[in-house]
Amino acid sequence: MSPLTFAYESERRLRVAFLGTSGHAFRNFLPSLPYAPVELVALWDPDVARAEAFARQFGAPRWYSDLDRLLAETTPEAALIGVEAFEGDEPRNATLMARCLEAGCHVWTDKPLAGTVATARRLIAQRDRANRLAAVGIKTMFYPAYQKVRQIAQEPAFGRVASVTIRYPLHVPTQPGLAGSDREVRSCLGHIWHPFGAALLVAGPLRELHVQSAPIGGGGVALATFASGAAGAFHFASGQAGTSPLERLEVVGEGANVVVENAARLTYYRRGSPGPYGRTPSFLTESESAPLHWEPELSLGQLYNSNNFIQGYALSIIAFAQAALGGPPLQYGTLEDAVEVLKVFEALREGTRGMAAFPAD
Amino acid sequence: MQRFSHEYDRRLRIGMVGCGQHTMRNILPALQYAPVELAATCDLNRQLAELVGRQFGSARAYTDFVEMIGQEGLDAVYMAVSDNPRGSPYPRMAVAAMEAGVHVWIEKPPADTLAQAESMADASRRTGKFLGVGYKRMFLPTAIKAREIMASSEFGEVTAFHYTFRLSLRPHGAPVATDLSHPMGLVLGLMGPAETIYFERHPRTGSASISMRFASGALGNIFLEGRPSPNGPAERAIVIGDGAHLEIDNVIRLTYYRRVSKRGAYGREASFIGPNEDAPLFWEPEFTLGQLYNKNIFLIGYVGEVCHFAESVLDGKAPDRAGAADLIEIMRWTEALHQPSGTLTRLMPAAPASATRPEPAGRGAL
Repeated sequence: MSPLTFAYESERRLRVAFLGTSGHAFRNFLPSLPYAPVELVALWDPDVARAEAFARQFGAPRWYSDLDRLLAETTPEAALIGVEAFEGDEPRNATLMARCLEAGCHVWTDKPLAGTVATARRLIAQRDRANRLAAVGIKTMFYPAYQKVRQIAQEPAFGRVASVTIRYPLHVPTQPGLAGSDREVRSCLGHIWHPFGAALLVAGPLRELHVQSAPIGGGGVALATFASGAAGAFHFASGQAGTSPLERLEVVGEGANVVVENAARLTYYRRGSPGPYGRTPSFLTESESAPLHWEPELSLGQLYNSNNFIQGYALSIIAFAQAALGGPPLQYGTLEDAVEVLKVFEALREGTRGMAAFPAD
Repeated sequence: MQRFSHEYDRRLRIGMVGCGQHTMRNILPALQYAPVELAATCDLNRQLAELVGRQFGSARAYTDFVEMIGQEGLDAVYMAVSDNPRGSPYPRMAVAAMEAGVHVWIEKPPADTLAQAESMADASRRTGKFLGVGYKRMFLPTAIKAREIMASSEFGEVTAFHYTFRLSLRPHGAPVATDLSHPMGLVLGLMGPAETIYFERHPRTGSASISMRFASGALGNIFLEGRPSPNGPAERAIVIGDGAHLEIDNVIRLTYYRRVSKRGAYGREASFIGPNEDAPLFWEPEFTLGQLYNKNIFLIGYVGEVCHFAESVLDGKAPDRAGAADLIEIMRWTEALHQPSGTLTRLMPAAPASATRPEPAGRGAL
């Protein structure tokens, strides 16, 4: 990756408003802005005191509790949304995105984009009518480690993707419910973006999913078939210890496989032979076929070991801002990607124990 | 529970001196969790001070930090300025800032010589203003946990220490001292003051093998790697107690190999798995959630160091870690390591630089 240009070094900066004052916004989204080609012009929150505190902390010159006023007075080119509220069964993110598109803004929002496929499709239609850019912070699609997996999986030496396994402690609803009233369903909607965003990145859309929820612990397992023909297995490890890492991803090709542990440790087991069975005295193979291993050093105060980069937050916002400024178009975290994730959510929301099919659009 | 800076009841009014990349990536983000209010920024490049300051909510920018102190009614300044090939700029700047009436926190490298360090400690005593130094490794969450383990009776007396760190030691006579703040910050933070230092240096790469005896009686071996591949973790530390030891790998992974209640029969044990109460304890942050504990500014000690200084000032006391006494101790070590290769230095008994000098490492000492 080429060196980053800091916000203040950028020749052209997108004038953005940030909506929301969640802990997530404080920890992850707003600290990412100095690395994106953006200028924070205003901050909004229904609680004006919080809006002011956040604005002062992150250098927004103006703050508002009235969104219409913000849009009228500061005319931002883009809005970044990081709220954690619901309006009925829909995340407020959807309403805010619609309002900001209507005002002529490009819009990036944190997940969840919406609570239904239908809402996401309405937003796609609105985006297209407005001729604006809209993006969703599906952060796993921007993990440097998962991006590397995608790159490896596309190399001829890796072969075709045969199977994918993903571990994530997702809560699987045990019975049908709606996100506005059912905590299990809301939890699922809040987190489903992580494992299925990763799956979408490395293996493409799903064709089928067979889910078995666990009677204990709130998790479960699922077997999947991807549209590509690859097989998938998901372990929803809800009920795990709070001290445990959450994620593990493995992609197997044809004679090669790649594993990411804890989002930060990547090992690529390249095509190679361990030697004759039962007759090989050393595990140390030729260097040409040795596994490749990456892990960030954590000694220096760098970008690559900042969680805002390891976890994709900054990279998602940077990609959005660059695309909005006419740079490379968005490849990941599109509303179409969100539709794929929401298809799975709708199946899980129904308390599915059995097969769900996802026909291509 | 960690508070955000705007949530503290009492806050220091501070100025930031130096607005380069390190300030933007690490120091100002860390200060967003400290009991401080960023009133102003200062840099020789006014535009940079304005641009960076604005991103962190600072109202005004200056090019002269003494003027900033006078105009803004500050309690303290944090300084993180560029390395200067002619030597550390901090001694002159820190003394001027203390004389201008504020407490001062400085990044590393704090000084080139022991005499410069002593001039800052003298200024602190003379003005009554506190000095803090960016010895961030004293504030690594893993080092803090290690000290807790080392102080436990189960760990036993701390007897030995081994540390590898990716650094090249400059030769005797080099015009500017190697910055030993990073490795020696951890060494002092874990092991306390030293009595002797002996070292040998590879003449071409600057890799160095350093032997130390600490005032506690523990022995230490510090290995500066010279020129390894930059493509990997930069450090690994092991502390040996009496029948137990711990290891910090890549700053973020801590393994505590506990005392074993009953050793198995040599050559007769079919499994390496013992009872739970003997099992090594292992910590590593998860990196999936957007949390504080997996942010590098927490993991690498930046938040800890800037918070400790601000909290000490608010409490009206000199920092008991990474303050003037620690600065002087590390500069004594630094001068010893700039003697010709093969020199054994017997360090003077700890000077009474401060009442807050840390006690030697050992059971209960940390």
